Amino acid sequence: MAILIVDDSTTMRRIVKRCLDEMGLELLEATDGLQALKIIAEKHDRIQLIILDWNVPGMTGREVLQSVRSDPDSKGIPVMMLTSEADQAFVLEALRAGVQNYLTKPFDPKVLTTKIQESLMQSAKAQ
Amino acid sequence: MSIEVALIDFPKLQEQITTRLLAPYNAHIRPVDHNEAAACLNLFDLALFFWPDIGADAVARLEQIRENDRAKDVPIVLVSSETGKRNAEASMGKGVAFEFLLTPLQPHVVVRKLATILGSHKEPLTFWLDADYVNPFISATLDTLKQMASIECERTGLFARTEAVAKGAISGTMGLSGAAEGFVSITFNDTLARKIVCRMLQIEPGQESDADIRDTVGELMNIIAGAAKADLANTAHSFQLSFPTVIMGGAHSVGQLRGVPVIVIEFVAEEETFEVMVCLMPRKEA
Repeated sequence: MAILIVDDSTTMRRIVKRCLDEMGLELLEATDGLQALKIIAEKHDRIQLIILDWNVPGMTGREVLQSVRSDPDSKGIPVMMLTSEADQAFVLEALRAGVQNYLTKPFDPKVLTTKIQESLMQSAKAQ
Repeated sequence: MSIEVALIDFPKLQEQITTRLLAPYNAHIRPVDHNEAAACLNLFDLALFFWPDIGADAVARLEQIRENDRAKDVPIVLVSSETGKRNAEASMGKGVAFEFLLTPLQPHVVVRKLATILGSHKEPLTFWLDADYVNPFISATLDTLKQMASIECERTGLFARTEAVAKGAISGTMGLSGAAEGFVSITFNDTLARKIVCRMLQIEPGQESDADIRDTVGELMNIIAGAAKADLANTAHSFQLSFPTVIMGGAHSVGQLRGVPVIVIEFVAEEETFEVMVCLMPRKEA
């Protein structure tokens, strides 16, 4: 079981990795949208959750999400938005576009762990 | 109390630049031509007269303005480029004006000169801080360092700086655009930057690399700007984020809007000082 994080910040990916290490989960990393879609295409059967920054280089978070949702192999993978865009309008846009959960930066790493667990439980129930 | 400033015979571009330069101060600006100025200069506390490079008899215009006895105490400052400077300065000896400013106008020069002039007539120009757009950056900085790095910090100072020169070892900076434009930056000394990085990444001191420091400072800038952006959404100071840039090494300049002062917010964390600079100005409607 693996979780994919899409964020161009090394710092953020390391913080997420630390949370997942404590949960015994594997982290796959992508620094931009195109790389993320490549990883999803190769490993969609192992990915249980995508943690997506809304502002990544190359493709927007919305574009990545649309690609994930339009592919039969990946459309069921839950997506959690992790973003510095704390504006309510952005959050609503992301929820309407199909993210299951979101966390705005700054955040307490313990809250991130809780949100990841929530997302995984929701995913397990859906299956 | 605001001061009334007349801009006499200013070309449109210079009028916009000067208005923008004086916007943060308690000055109410009104562009007028020399005929209007002759009739109503007494209504103003101060006048800036734009000296043309060529053509038009500027001295005659000034003498016409000075015929209004009720306005004889209103100080007139000549504004000229290098081309018109000699003639402008020569006219000052005729008693129609008593001070001179050279274009391109430098904010700190203008404010200092006007404050000196007005000091003998009215209250000097004072800088008016718009707390409405500063406070979101203050709270975003405090929240971000507390949540992401478990570091408590305290705001210890708030002042204006005429130039965006960061005083520290490393800065994260981000251009802002939208209904308002400008920039925001955060600057740390080396000691505090390393402490913050180690706390965020949960690594031992000494394990952090320069790459870690650059990335963390950039991400902190991103987070702080994003949080402030949310608070300023749907206001005259709303903006969009860009990608952060990180600058390292000694005192360094970060981006600045021409003629717009920089607000410096000083903080202390872990007994070290750091600062956030904000320069943000609403765009005028076209």
